Amino acid sequence: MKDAKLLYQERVQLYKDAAAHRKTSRVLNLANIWTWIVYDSGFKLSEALFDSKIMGQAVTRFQEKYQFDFFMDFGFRNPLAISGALGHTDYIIDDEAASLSIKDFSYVEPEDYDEICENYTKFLWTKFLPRKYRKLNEPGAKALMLNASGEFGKFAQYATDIVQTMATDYGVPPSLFTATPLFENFYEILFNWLRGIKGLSLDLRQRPDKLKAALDSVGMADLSGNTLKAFKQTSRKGTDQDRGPDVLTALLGHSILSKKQFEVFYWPYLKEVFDYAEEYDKIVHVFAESENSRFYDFFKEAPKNHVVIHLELDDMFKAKKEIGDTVCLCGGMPIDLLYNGTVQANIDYAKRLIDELAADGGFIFSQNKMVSYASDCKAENLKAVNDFVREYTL
Amino acid sequence: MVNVQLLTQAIGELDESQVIAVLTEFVAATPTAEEALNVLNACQQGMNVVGERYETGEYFVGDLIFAGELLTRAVEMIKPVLQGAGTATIGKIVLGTVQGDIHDIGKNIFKSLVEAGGFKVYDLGVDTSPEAFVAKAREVGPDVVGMSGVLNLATTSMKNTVDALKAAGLRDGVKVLIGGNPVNSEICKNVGADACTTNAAQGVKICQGWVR
Repeated sequence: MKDAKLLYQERVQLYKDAAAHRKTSRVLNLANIWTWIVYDSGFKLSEALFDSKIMGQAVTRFQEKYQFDFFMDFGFRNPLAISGALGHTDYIIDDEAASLSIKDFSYVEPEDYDEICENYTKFLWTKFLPRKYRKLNEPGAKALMLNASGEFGKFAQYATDIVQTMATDYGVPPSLFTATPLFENFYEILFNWLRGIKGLSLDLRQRPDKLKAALDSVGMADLSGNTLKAFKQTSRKGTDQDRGPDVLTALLGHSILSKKQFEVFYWPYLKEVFDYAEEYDKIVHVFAESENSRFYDFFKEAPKNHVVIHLELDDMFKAKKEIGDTVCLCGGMPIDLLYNGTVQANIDYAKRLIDELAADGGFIFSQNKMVSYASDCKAENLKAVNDFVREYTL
Repeated sequence: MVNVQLLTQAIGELDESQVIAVLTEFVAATPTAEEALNVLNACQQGMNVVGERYETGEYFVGDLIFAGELLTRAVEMIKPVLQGAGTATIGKIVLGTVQGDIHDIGKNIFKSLVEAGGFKVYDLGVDTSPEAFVAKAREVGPDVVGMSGVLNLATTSMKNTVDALKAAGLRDGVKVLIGGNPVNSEICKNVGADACTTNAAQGVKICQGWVR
């Protein structure tokens, strides 16, 4: 077993080399494993999501078993205790299926777009929060906010502790989600948090000008409204040698867009983060859910050696031919094979992925979809694949 | 009399204001139930155009969601005139998102297209148990049982539902279609379904092929 510090440096370098299309001795293995970590470690979601000590145990136990190089998530993604302290959650936990689902919602009405353009921060505090957390409109709201603040403090402490533990004990760099600055097209924030899939589908047709104005107004931002434009002001040139990517962006709402709609409502903003990566010599990790081949013409315009794209449902071999010279590909291991296939079939597929996608560099191994629920993966298959990927030399 | 070709075209182009204008004028002219059936048929033809444009890539999922809403609104406007008119259906489908999964966008898109394609749909909603599928199938005697899901766990629920249909002696009398993100031909075989699709418009064609 290598020293954790050396492992950490090796893993960061493997990420940088893959992003830059440099040949490496082995392929980096990124865990696109989310709540399945909790299930596999023998805990219940209803326990781990509300108890950072249990979540921490689940993450470290998982790493001891599978020895991943990088993680998408260390258990940050669903800080339900914070929203629970505000008296509302959109999530449904099912311990039996180890599933976490989100209810349909819409906290933004069509007439809100003007106000969002005028002052987005004010909108979040005066409209969004009271609509989502109705108890904030009642007496006792201040106590709720204080409780939520306390839970946020615990969450922040957990984040600090687990990043530290994973680095010092296991040589694993910070997880990409939460521990890496995340900037998304405001369209994504509307899709995932504010307006919902149905509302946004209607807006694309019924009020495209208002929607476009809101996207222009907020730009690439994080969930709190901090923008990429402001972030740039504090950036120095050069990639951070202590982490994998410098910036993360996530694409999910694009899955409902045609190519023509993407060109108008998405590409100008995604290009903003690509331009930032090129101008500041940074690496951006793009987490692109769904099937993306209709957008390859846009992805080809990414700055070479600065962009890693994690694809979910795409044909990776076709993607390699079409965009693999420009962007580093990530993903590829099908989770239906990880659940339904034999150990040998899984190893054979992993070998094919590495042989065909990584021979000349520019590939990071990972699961194609987010592994979340009990039936997303079989432990023996994941273990066998990870042992193979770790030992397989190019 | 309303220009049905214009209406079909307006639905196909997702031109909401044109659709509403045409239907407002139509309803105001106190039409007969038979005329309303022709108008409904024109709307259904328009949805076929939407399905075709989806298959060519011109439209995408957001457009299908909008089309479903547009059709629902159109039907609401025509409905009062349709009272008493017998609407012909080509088949019956029991439809639901399977147990453990609450995603209903894909199911609802398929529902609006397959209704427009001539089917009577019995929508069981989301998180539907195998027992609920069996009970509804026994009650209405459908031509097709349609199961939808997004999560990988949905495929297990789909298999459980097919097994429950077999145990209830209903499997041989129905076709089973599965749809959604996790399905493919291999899964289809494991589940014991007759067909699978990740494309709602294609799913409608499969169902139409079964009843014609």
